Amino acid sequence: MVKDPGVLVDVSKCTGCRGCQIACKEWNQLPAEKTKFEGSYQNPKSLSGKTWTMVHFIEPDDGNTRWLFRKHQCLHCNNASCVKVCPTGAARKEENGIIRIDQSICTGCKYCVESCPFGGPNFNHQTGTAMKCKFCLDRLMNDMPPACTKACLSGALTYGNRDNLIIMARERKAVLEKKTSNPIRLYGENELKGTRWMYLLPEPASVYRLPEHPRLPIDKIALRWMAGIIPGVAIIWGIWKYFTGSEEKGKGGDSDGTC
Amino acid sequence: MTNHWIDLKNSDCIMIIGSNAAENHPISFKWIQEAMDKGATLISIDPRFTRTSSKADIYAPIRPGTDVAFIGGLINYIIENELYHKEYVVEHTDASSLIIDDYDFNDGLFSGYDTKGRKYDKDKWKYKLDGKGIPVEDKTLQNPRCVFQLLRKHFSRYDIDTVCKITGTPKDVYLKVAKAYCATGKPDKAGTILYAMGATQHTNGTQMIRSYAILQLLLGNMGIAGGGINALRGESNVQGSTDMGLLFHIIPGYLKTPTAENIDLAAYIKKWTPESKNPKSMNFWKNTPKFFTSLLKAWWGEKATKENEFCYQYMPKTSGNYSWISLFSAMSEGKIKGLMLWGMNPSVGGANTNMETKALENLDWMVAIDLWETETADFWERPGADPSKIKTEVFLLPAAASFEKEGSITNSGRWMQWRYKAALPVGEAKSDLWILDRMFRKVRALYQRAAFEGKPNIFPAPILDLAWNYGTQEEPDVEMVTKEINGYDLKTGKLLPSFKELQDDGSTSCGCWIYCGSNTEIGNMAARREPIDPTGIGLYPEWAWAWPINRRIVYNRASCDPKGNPYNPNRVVIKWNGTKWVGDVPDYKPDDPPEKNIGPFIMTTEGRGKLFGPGMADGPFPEHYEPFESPVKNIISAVQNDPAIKIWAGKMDLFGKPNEFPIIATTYRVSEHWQAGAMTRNLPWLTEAMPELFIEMSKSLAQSKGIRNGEKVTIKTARGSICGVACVTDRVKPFQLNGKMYEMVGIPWHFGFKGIAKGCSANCLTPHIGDANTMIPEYKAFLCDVVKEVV
Amino acid sequence: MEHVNWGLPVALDLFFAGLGAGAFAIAVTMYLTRREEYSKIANIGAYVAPWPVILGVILLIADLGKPYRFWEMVLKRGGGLLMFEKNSVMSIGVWLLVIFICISLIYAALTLIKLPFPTEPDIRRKIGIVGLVFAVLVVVYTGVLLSATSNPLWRTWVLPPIFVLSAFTSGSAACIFFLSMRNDKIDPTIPKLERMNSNLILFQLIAILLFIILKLGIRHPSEISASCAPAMKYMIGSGYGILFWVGVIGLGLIFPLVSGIKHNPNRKPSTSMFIALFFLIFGGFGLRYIILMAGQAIR
Repeated sequence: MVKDPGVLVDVSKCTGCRGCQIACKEWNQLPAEKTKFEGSYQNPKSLSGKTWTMVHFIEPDDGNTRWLFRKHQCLHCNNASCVKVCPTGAARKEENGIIRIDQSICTGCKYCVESCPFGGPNFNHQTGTAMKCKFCLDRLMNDMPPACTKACLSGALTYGNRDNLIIMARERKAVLEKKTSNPIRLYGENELKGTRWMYLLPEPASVYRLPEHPRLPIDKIALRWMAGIIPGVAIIWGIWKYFTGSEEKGKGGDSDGTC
Repeated sequence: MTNHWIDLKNSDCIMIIGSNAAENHPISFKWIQEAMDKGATLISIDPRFTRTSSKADIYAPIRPGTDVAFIGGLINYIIENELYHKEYVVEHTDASSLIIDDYDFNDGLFSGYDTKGRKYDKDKWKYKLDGKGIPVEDKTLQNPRCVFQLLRKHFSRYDIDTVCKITGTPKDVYLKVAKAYCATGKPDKAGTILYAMGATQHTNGTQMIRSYAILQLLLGNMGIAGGGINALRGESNVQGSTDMGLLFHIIPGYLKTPTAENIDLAAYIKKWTPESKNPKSMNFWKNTPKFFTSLLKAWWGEKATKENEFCYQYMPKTSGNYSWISLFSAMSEGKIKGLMLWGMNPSVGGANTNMETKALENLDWMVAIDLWETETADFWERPGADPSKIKTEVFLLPAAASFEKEGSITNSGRWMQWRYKAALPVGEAKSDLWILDRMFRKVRALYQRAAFEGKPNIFPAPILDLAWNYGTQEEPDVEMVTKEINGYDLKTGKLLPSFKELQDDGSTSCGCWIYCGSNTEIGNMAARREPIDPTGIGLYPEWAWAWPINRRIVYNRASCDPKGNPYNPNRVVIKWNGTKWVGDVPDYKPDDPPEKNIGPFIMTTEGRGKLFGPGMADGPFPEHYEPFESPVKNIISAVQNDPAIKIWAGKMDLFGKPNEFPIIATTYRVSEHWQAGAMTRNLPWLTEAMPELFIEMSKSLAQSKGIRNGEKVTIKTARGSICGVACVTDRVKPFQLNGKMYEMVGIPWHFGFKGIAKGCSANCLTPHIGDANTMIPEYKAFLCDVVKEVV
Repeated sequence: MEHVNWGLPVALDLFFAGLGAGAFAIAVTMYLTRREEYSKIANIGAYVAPWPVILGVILLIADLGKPYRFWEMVLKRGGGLLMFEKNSVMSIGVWLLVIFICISLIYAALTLIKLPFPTEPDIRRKIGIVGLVFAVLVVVYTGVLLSATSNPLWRTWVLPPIFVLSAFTSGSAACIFFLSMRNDKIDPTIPKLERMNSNLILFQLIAILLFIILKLGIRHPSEISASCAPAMKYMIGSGYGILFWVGVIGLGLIFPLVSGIKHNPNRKPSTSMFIALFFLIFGGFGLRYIILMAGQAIR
């Protein structure tokens, strides 16, 4: 098994054939969703409990005709929000760094679903649990690459050791930067302490429907607690003051009212 | 493909025209990407901005059906700017050959046109021969009657301004394409052209391919690594089925189907064996008698003897055209009583399919052999039909899928690859071979009985005498079939190693001469899986087997100069080592030294690449004609449509005029579905990805019609109407033609009324008008109107 | 609706938890004043407090994909140890709720039953103080839970104060409601409580305004859309605009604010007062529901 596994997604090589999307469904035997054509090739529209990977079809509306494709799935962050927020420990990091949701423990509280900056985990209404890409852990254990990377024809997906992938990505970045004037970003190298799925992006991350600066939802959590506790305490203190300190005045006020 | 898939990686410039390779041949991008990684330029020329265009360095929009104009402009650009590969053009093509004085071209028509019969007298377009029958040449290319000068004159009318007025391509983009692609005329540069049905499915589709050929010959791109003309076939094994004689006019190995005039074997041989008196031409087709006789021996075995013309008279002779449109016209008129559909779904895939499906009602019986009950198999239950009024008896034979049977598949790169059976067929499904075998045995038994009973007016011999030896098992032995195709030395009983051994005296048999050598005494060559690449250019000679004789790049002699030195020393396909040609299997006599100066294009009668194509139905040079349904007048000549096309006049052969149907329409395929859709629209995962019919249109068209993205729209043509979801996108833009804007819609044609992903069939709209040479319907360019409300 | 992960049950839980804990906090504070005139409200609050919270927790459990696995949040597998994830606001919340429910039940019991020993008020007071701490934390938790997600609408520090303010107004409104139900006359504390509420409502309006401005105006590079404006626009415009402006702001906050000021003590509880209380309470629910749903509709 590859140590410290990762996948590099070179979006400049993706042809949007969606072999990865189908391969994932096939290997994991995920049911098809009922979809409609609503003006874009992108279907299903987003990840879900039954769709663990899908390709975004992006037509930027800026006068310069392009058609961009980005395979999306759980990024397997080293600092993973789902692991942090899971109240039962069902979402956890495996020894090789892969993030997995233990289906026998997950209570289906959906907190991870709402917490992930990438929309990775999603609720599966059939199983009643949160589900997401499991990096084909079962295949990895048997020295096989993840199903989606196996299906990729154009070289957009490369599976391997994460450090090697970063070296490879830097080389590719240099090649791409010669071709375009845009800076190329290796997304996921450092984001959330590094993600296992990394993207080489020739345009801003937001164009590719990724957060420019993904953050953990529990970042600055103390601020949020304090933002609530301070007013809470202040209100109680105010009530106390109001109902004790102003007794005479209050009574006077009341008697004024009765006059 | 003259080359093969892996070879795409050797290219410096890849022009994809009339093909959407990224969507319909996704594997191509593995190799295209590799070429691009090494600095190759990718050009996508397409009416729509496709997934292929999204990866291209240059995207050039083109109005459907104007490829000859587009390429004609490039030919003119090359000649005027002297960007052609001079030595190649002089030595390897017919540029220097003189043409007889009868040849002429005037305002859209070549000499010899018969207006009434809508056909040409091809005798007016011949090479000038000297007294010995050898073509007269002018190696300086200055003689005004030499092919090169005639070519220059013909295409001089295709200046960039005129071309862009026809194609609707912005001039600056056109120039970019011209600069990038024509740069491959340098001896060490390779440019390749990838095309598919976007080029062939036009009334002058064959001429489009001819224009690619001329372009490639001028640039010296034929026979070299990273070059060639590469037809991306529409199905995984359509190359194999064409090789085996799928079409009506050819029998296995591209031999001609006997016609009624070929009254005996001698007449057939005389008619179809080309003759050349030129000592510098190998004229490989001179071996036709050997190929044909061996084929007859393969079919009728011991019964085929010299005395009975090797059973030549058992072969049916044709007396007309039996192409797709002709068949359905005949069916429409009630002339055809029975139909066997083997993996065919004309109710979705055929042109003017309302008419074609209606024609099925005239049949007494129909057998559908397919994985699924297709729209055609169920045509009597189609929406709007009254089953009680349809007399056709329909039989559905469930067939096994490709992974449920053993056999070979020949890919676009001519590789014959062996596949093993991976799974059992579902239910009662059987392999095609099993079905065919049972059917044959039954027919034979019926003939036997009829013959025994002495029934009159039957001719049992062709059936009873047929050699049918495919084992005694329940399942016929597919390897025995391939051995028969490979052929035997009948004296020794051994399998033949190569078609060089074939004889015309009945001592050899061979079911398809180009496959001779595929299953020899060494073993099943198609099953080989050695991933070794001794040349370093990706030939992998021991991976499967390529016809002919495992040659990976055809015409490869042309990759070297007359002395036998490769034009590109870094990408050597073959070279002369002093005693023989080494590298790929040479497309040449392996020990013929360069000094003999034998022409490199051994399959042509002239031995050279043909810039001049006298065999074409509609002219020796490609000429732009408008699609049969076009919104504009032809501005390059007074002749609007290809003058040699057959115009059909059946009740349902309707055609639209631009005043009523002002919008250009084209059809296409998407990655997620396959052909007529039975195999993909029944799969939930693929249905999920591409659930229903959509119609791509520009934002300006949508705005003018008040259509919003995702709304339902109706498309109407003279032949029918369909409704689908509007996909309003920047990827489709109107064309500016001669100063006026013309809108276009694009419609995927996979859908039908059966399966999980249902939708209208786009072929309700397409016309019954075919190419002048091949009769393939003009699916890719017709006229329509777009209406917002749903019918 | 496939995209709604947290729907009505969660909105109800957030609301009920705030309501119960808010009522508890007010009741205990009243009790701690040791003033006789506040004893009624102190007792009512004590009786009312636990039940909405318990109901909320039941709804929360019912909303789980696997309700019968709720114990996974409390007990560790196999070991019998307690389950607690310090980074998980939900895990913290579970324990806050569990502890609060226990305390509030004990406190309610102590309010109802006089213990037969002299230190009884002391015990009630001490438990009340501890409960007060947990009540505040429960109220804050409902806001932090949402704000500690990656939801573009929820993710802001303004959400906890809004929820806190709202919890106190609905908590006190519930106390007033039950107090007035039992009495023909308006309790003298009620005008004071209402005046307090008016202040809280004002603060709440300010906080909500801040919430809107923050979400509409500031770029959020951590979000996929790089902006939270679409979700906010959906909440106050195209999606829940009417419900928000009419229901939450108009009826839920401004109407009680305006009608509450005019209340006189010693008069009979009027229908309009009950209506105002009703709107105040359910305005609190509406606010949570709209924020919850709008946040999930646009991402």
